[in-house]
Parts: sequence; structure tokens; C-alpha cells
Amino acid sequence: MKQVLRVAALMLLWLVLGSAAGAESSTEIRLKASFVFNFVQFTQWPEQTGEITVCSLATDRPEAEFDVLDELRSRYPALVTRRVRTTGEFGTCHVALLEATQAAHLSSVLAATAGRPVLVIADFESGVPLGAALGLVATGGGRIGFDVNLAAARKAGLLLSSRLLQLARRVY
Amino acid sequence: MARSVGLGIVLVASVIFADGSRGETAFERQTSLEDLLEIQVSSAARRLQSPSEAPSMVSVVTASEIHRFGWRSLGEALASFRGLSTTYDRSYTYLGVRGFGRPGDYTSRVLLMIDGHPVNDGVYDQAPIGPEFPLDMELVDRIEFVPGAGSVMYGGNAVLGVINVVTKTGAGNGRKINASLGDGGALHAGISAGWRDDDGRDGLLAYSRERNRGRDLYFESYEAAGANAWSRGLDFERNERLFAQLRQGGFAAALVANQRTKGVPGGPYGIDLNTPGSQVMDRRWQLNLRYEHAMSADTTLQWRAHAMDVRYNGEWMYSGVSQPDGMVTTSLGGELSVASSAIRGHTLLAGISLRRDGQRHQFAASLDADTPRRAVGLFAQDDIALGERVTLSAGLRHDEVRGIRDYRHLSPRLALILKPAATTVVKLISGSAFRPPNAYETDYAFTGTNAANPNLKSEVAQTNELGLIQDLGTDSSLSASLYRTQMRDLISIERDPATNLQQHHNVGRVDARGLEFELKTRLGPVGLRGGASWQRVRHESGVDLANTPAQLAKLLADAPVAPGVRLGWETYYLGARTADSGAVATTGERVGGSSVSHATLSGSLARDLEWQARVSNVFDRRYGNVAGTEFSSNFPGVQQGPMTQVLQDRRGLSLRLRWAY
Repeated sequence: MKQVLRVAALMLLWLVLGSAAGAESSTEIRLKASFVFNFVQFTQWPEQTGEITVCSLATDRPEAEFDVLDELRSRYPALVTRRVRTTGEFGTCHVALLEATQAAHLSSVLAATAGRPVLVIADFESGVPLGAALGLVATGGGRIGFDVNLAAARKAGLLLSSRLLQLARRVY
Repeated sequence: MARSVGLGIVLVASVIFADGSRGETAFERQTSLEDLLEIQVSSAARRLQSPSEAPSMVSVVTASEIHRFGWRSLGEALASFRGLSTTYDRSYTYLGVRGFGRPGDYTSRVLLMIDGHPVNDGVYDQAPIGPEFPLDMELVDRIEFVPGAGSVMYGGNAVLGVINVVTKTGAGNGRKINASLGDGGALHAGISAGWRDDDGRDGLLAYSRERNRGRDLYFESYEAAGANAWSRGLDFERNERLFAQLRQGGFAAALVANQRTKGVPGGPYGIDLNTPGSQVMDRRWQLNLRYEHAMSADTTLQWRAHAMDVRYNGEWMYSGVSQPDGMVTTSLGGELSVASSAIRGHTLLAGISLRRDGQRHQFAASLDADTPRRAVGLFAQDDIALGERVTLSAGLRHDEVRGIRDYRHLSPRLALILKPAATTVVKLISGSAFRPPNAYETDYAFTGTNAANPNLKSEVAQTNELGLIQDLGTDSSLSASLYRTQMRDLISIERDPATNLQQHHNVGRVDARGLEFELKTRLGPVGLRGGASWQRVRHESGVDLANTPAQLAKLLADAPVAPGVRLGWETYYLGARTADSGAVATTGERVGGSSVSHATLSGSLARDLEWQARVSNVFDRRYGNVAGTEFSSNFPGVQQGPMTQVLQDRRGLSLRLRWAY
């Protein structure tokens, strides 16, 4: 019995220490940021200005949480990153990045960016079939891949490299 | 006291060293897209995962491993998985899952799928895992294995586990020609063409053929003065595979076809040891269709359908005369499911699955049986997030199987997934699964040797599992699992001493327990994957089941050994087990443990030309796999003793070339 209690106490200690060891591992966030950076490299906007602006919605997220946009800001200084308060502001960005928790805003983002050369990237599975030009998906075994919506990219006047087409999991 | 301190140190150390979040991960700013696609985020560290992954201890092997280790058949790849072992009797390959794999059970307790479509046929419910598997390994993107009770999602058949083989896309495959040459006159050639056009339409076409003359084999149990103990020219194998697939967006259609012929050496079922003509031939045509539709940002509809035609023809030479037998089975099935995360904190999945085996025809000289079967399943699952660190998964499936008898089962599964740290996942899983008897078990009858048994009950199994996944930093992880499966009404073929006929019976309860570990790590340029497991499968009579290895151990390593040359090394240890005694309550003869190693060297001759040399059974070990009692049918008689094992191949060499044209 004493042995069981000792083991239980140790497990409790482990659980407590564990929670102090830091927030969610950012391996996945780093990987996603690398994908976004690559997407930007392989997309051509109709008017290629100097800096590419990547925007993400400021709502629906606890301030302290480190996300893909933060990672982009710290690792790729060539990109300009901005948090927008409303979906309407996405029209002024080159890239509209929707996090997994922001899936509900997809339709308003698509409406706000319709006809404009904005690359909509969704970090949730159903984003691409619903109209986002690019989307990150789970491809099994802990790997991440992406889908492409060609029609959406074409409507936005964006040219996607054939490399993106060939490496995508699915092309809609 | 010392033990608690030791345990404490291990736990604290694992927390300190487990902060794999910063720094040394595999990618930098310059990492190419292709490389990003290969990076694996461990289960503990990732958020993005499929609904089937959360409540299970899934294992995955990818195409790059299949290539690195030179695996040519599905069985060779499966042997590397945690908890799995294969048994080959020189006709078919069977799978042992966590020690459960009795000779001749045709792997009917594992559901095998290609891209989520079932492969198991309607008569034997067989998972064809050896070279009889209809897909060429060149076309495989990854293999997923989920142990435990799978009936909650997939219905009957998925008692011990579920294997899903996922194919490459046309763009992922590209254009390849491969050829290989091995001893025993083994030749393999394949061509595949994959493409994706500017509108995103993806296609893949592949055809491959192999033939192996096989060696002449000596069988000790037939050894006697002046007698013949050789099977000459009976270990041949011929294989042909065709694959065609079209994909666009959420739609995919695939045609899978194969035909395999294998000679039967060793005189099973009392056939002549050395008369040419004994062979088994399996042929399949299968069409798989699927469509995924995003109904809204949080709800997806998935539709799947399959149609298969599977045929088997056997020729068995008795005193120089052929006794043919065969089976034909056609199956039509489909599934409609909806996955939704519309309700905050819930990931819901619900669906209906239908399968109709319109023809389940078995025939032989004194056999002509055909009993169709219909199955309907309704399933639902909800993964509920109870806070940041806890998820509760609850699933239920109701199945109705109608044939000459009706079988019904409710399969629940409950899982608690805990994340005490960012790098640790603990899973407590409990589920129920069932397997209705298949047509071979209920209908097969043959005058003088086998009797049918239409009154069989379903096997029912309850599995409880405690699993741990610990992320140990750069590309390193540890998985461990403690499990127990309790099965009742195990179906087994037994010989009735009164009539001397073989018949399938429900033979009572079986208790399977085990502990398994797997460590994946990288030491500089060397990738390592090692595992060990201990298992015991005991019948209610106190007798351990035949062919259950007491221990299993595996070590896989891959490393660059010279500029541009990589070595893939595998070592497998198969622990002591008992041979088949013919009755589940009778202890079989003890078979000692054995180990076998394989080595594969890979390199490039030119930019698009790769070569590979594989030495199987590097140390030329003489070892066997447990054989079913059908290999002792000629004893007493022309056989001098029972044959409890079938010897496996000695050292062999195979050279391959692959050209991306």
C-alpha cells in the first residue's frame, strides 16, 4: 500500500512539473509557419510589390498564445505580419491566414476578399473545398500536407507554381 | 524504496529532457516543401489529427521506410510493426497480432483496408498480407495499424486490429520502372505512370509482374531410407498486379486487381510431397470509390463504396491425381458518414455501413455451398474535450449480419486521453469487438475429412489498454502499452475423435495479455527504431495458444555508410512458442526462439537511377515458422514424424534497379 502511495505521489509530482514545463510544443507551429512561408514563395501576385503582408484575425484567441503568425514574425523578417480586428480588413493584405479555431469566419473572409488578389490560407481541413486557395491538412503519421483550390486561386488572380500543384495532397 | 526513487528519477528526467519545443528540430528557413511534407510531429506534440487517431495507439510506417528497408511485400513491412509478427507456411502468410495468430486462421480477425476500403473477402474474411496482397509496395504511401477492438468503427472482423494501406497520388508517385533479380530465379518488373495535370486531375497507372522459380525443399519429417523427402519445383510463385486510380478534389476512384499462383510444397492436407501440380491461385478484381464533401467549415460528409470479385482455385495432387477446390465471392458495400466539430469541444462522427456478399460459393468434389451474407452497421463516436489536457472519446456501433443465421452485436468503446505535459499522452482505452463466423467456418464440408457447422456463435472480445506516448525531443519518442484482451467463444478447427472429421467449434474463453515498448530515435545520422514485447495468450483450459511467441523484439536501423549509400538493417527476434497440437486444450510441442536479420543497401547510379541490394537472412539462420496440423496429415504413413514447423528461406540476395523516367 505504501508503495502504491509513493508511486501515486511521484506521478502527481510529475503531472505538476509537467504542466510547468511550458505550453503546447511549438514543433507543429514551426512546421506550419514553414509551409506558409513556402506558399508565399510559390505564389505570384498580379502586382508584385516589395513586401508581402500576412494577416491573421486578432479575435478568438487568448493574447498569450503563440501562434503561426507570431512564428512567421520571428523567423521570416522579410514578411510583414499584421493582426486585423475585422474580416473586412483582409482585403488590404496579400495573405489572409485563418487559424484552426477561426473556421467559422471563413465565409466572411472569402466575401471580404472576393475578386481581390488575396491568398487565403486555412489551417483546417474543410477550408480548401469551401473556397480557400490553400489549406493545411493532416496526412497521416503526424505529417502535415496541404490542399489547393485552383479555381479559388484563379478567381483571385493569383498564379500558383506548378510545384505547389504537384506536391499538394488534393487539388480542387 | 530504491525502486520508487529510481522511478522518480526517471519521471523527473523525462520531464526535464522532454521539452522538445525549442531548437533542434529538423527544419530551418531553407527547408524545401518536399522535406516539410515528410516531417513527423509526434502524437504527443500535435493538435492536428484524424478522429480515428485520438482513441487509439496507432503505428505508422511511411513510403521512405518501405524503400529504405527494401520491403517487397506487405508482410515484410508489417513484421516491423510494434505488436505484429508474421507466419509463412509457404502457401500464404498469416499475421499474429499481440501474440494471437494461430496457424491457418487466415488472419480473419484483422480488418485490412486499402484507402479505407475493405480487402477481406466474403468467404474466409482473409486479410491477404503476403505477396498475395493486391497492391505493389511501390505504390504505398503509408501503412497505418491500430491494435485493439476496431468493431466500434468497422464492424465484425476488426477484433484484433485494423490495418489501412494508403496509396500514393499520381503526382507523388511520378513515373517509374523497376526491375529486380534474385536467387531462386526471382524476377520482378514493374512500371508505373503517375501524373497531375494543370487542372489538378491526378492519375496513376501501374502494372507489375513477378515470378520466382523457388528452391527445391527438403522436409525432415519425411526422411526414411530409400524414401523421398524433397518437394522439387513446388515452391514457385507467380504474381501479377494492376492498379489504376483517378483523383480530383475530394473524389477518388481506384481499380485494384491481382492474380497470384503459388506452388504448395511440404505435403499439407495429405497431398503428395513431390507431385508437380499442387498449387493455389488467388485472383481479385476490386473497384473502390470515395467522395468527401465539405458541407460547412466544420462538417464533412464522406461516402465510400467498393465492389470486389475474389476467386480462389486450388489443385491438390493425391497419388498423382488432382483434386481441385475453389471459391468465388462477390461483394458490394458502401458507407456514408458525417464528421462535425460544429459543437464546441466535440468532434462528432456518425455513419451507416452496408455490405452484401452476394456470392460466397465454395466448391470441391463433395462440396457445393453458397450462402450469401448481408451486414448493416450503424456507428457514432464523440471526442469530447474536457479542458486543455483531457479528452474523452465515446463510440458505439450496432451491427446486424444476416446469412443462414443472424448475428448481432453492440460494440462500445470508451477512451480517456490525457496530456499531463506538452510531450506526454496517456491513453486508457476499453472496447468490445466481435467476429461472426465466416463461410469457410460454417459451410466447408468434405466427405471423409471436414464437417460443416452452421451453428457457430460469434467470437466476442473485450480489450482494455493503457498506452503511453512520450516525446523525448528531436525525432525521439517512446511508446508503451499494457493490454489485455478477453475473448469468448473462440472459433477453432478441432478433430472429432469419434468421426475423425475436422470441424469448427466455439472452444471457450481465451485471455491475452501483454506489454509492449517501442523507441524511435536518431543518433546523429543513424535512425533507430527498436521494440520489445511480452505476451501470453491462454485458453481457459490453462493451455497457451499455439504460435504465440512469449517475447518479440525488433531493431531497425538506417544510416549512411558511404557517400551516397545508405544501409537499412533489420533484426527480428521471435521468442519461444508452442506448435499446433490440433486441439486448443492440448499443449503443443515447444518451439525455441529464433532471430533473423536483413540488410538493404541503397544508392544512386545517376540522377534518376537508383539501385538496391538486399540480403535477407544475413546470418543464414535455419529457422522455421509454426505449421498447422495439416502438415502432419501424412503421419503416420509416408511421413516419419509430425511436421511442427515449416522452414523459412536461408540467406538470399536480391538486386534492384529503379528508374524515374
